[in-house]
Amino acid sequence: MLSKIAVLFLIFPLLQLEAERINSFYNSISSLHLKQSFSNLSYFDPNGAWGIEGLQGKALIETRRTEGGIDINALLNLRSGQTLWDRWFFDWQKTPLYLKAGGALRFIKRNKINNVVTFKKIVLKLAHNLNLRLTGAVLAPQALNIKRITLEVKDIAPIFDLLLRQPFEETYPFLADLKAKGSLEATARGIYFASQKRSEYQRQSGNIYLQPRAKIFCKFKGDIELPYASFKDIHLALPIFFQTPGQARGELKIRHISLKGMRIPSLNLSLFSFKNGFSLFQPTQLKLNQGSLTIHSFKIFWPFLIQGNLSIKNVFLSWPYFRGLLSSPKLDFKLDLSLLRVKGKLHLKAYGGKISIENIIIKSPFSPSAKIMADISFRDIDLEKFSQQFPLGRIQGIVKGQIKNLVIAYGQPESFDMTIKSVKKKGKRQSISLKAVNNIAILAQGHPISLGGLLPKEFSYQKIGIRCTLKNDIFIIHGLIKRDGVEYLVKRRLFGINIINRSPGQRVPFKEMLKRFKQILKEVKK
Amino acid sequence: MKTKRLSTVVFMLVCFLACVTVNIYFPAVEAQKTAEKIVKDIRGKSTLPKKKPKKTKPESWHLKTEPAQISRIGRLFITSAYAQEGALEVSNTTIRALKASMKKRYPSLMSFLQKGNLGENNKGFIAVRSWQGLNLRQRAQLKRLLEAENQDRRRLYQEVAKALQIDPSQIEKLQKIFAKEWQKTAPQGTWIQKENGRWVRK
Repeated sequence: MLSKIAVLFLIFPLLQLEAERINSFYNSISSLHLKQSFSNLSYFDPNGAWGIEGLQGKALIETRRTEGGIDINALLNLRSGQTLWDRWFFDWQKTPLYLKAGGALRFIKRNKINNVVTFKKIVLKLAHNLNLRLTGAVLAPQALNIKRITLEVKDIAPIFDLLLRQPFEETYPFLADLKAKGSLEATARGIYFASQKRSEYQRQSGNIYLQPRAKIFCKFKGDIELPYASFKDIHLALPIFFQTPGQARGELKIRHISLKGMRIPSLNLSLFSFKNGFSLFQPTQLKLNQGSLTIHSFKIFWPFLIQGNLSIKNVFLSWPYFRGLLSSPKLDFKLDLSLLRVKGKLHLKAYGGKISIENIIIKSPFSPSAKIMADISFRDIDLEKFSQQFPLGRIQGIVKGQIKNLVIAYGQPESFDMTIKSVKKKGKRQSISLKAVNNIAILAQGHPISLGGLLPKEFSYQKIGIRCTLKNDIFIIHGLIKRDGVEYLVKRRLFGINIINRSPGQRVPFKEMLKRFKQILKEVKK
Repeated sequence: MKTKRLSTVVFMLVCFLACVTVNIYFPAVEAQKTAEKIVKDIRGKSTLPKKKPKKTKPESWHLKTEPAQISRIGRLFITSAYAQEGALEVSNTTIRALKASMKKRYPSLMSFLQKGNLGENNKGFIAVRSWQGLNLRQRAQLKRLLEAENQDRRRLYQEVAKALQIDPSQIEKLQKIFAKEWQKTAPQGTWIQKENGRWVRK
């Protein structure tokens, strides 16, 4: 008898697949009431895929024979012990589990397939915090229909920690800095999983892929904090039509947004859901740091593709050693799981000139080794304004240049090819201070010029021409002004000072360049 | 006559094509040196298990002793100063960050290697050899470490191959070179997969 109960309990959800053989077994059951407490129940899957250890709790199973089937009630309560499933680990003492299911097994003869399992109600409670309710589930051969699923999470912080942070933190370290709190409610209706054998391999292996479809309504209230951004007082109400036709309105309200020090007062977005996606209902303008950002179009498609376009007008950016206005007439963006591609140019007005950023691509945007790529060009940069903000030493004059193939990984430059050239402009003085000469000399050769004390404090110059590349952690500095086989970084007029690149093509390791950089900053501190 | 001429041309063309050899560059010596250096950097000084580092960012990302001005202005450079060495080293920001991540993980991995739960396979990755002696919590930890380590190694091989201009079709050769280095530096008790696929305990 006990073995029958165990079989019934374990294979209950799968029995319809073996219906023909099991019918006789079920027909032998009339009524059953089994209440069992268990402790120290352990099993380790030999392949390590899953396991249970020291499980303690209660199980109840009741069956009653009715006309045409069996009514079944089951209850499982886990109070201590542990379970591992794939990468999810549950300590039931910390997160007790309560599962209650009430349903029936009906013997239906149709197209040689018989037996349908119906669940009136399944209730799952986890950690006194997560409630999952399934009502009206029908498990037929190779298909599962659920009338309604309701998910309620009173406090998402511990659930986020249990289901996302702990399993994935080692692989995605950014999760350590991601904080989420608040509550979540989601209701899904008309959920249907139909079996589809997708490939020859699956046909051969017998694996069945269940293609789901559902109408889901999500509600989230709470805060999300990222290392450089925080979103507080979020109210999201979003209908989702997953693989099923439908249209409905939703909304997203965020009362406080802080984005790397930039404050966005509040955000009210009207959303429009459709089959496998949703979009902004109408263009939205956000006031940002004395300027504005207009989202003209924004669409998300399931499983995952985001695309849209926006424009930016005179958003004031203020970072250490950088102040400027950011604008863009039109930026088209497309993001999927492996790539973010931005079409259009970002324009920055800074240091009296213009900086343009284009060809922006982020490879593997959700991976820790995401790489940001871009090409930058700049013109009419007033070195006096630049040197006022950046402690390199006073330089006067105008420069232009570019940074090609810039790659940033882990927040640091990985490679680039930069050129800077001076531009003559009427009425603009071209001069360089001794301090700046020394700092350029330190960067280029590792030490300042030797006659520093005897020289005047400022010199005029005729040209600046520098090329600096970084690749495979090696910096190479070249002077772009060449006379009689000599490379000049800064070329004097009749009088003044030359900064000569004594060893053109010299390879400076990253660490050495860093040392030089630190040396400059120490001098500044003095 | 025409047919004869045509067949001669065809014959010559076939001969010419037969003589064309496609050489795919594989810098074996550089790859070997790079593998030695990188594996040494990761495993060199971490032979003893250390206290588990705090859950915050890696230590190397903070320069508490530096003046505030330096840490602000030079964040881009300073954050990555800990590992970069000589001019001949194959390195870039990603390689340095991967090395740092793997170095931080190594003390936790080492105990599983020593106990024989994990092994170094002959393709440059770690693999589960046995679950014996591990409770569920440790199994969960092992699974997460295994996945993260192999993901980092996969990226590392891709980055090194790119830096050494190794064709992607040759990456397995690079992995095998790395595999030998991982195996050489693995602690006693580690399972090692030989070239012929047989596993032996170190």
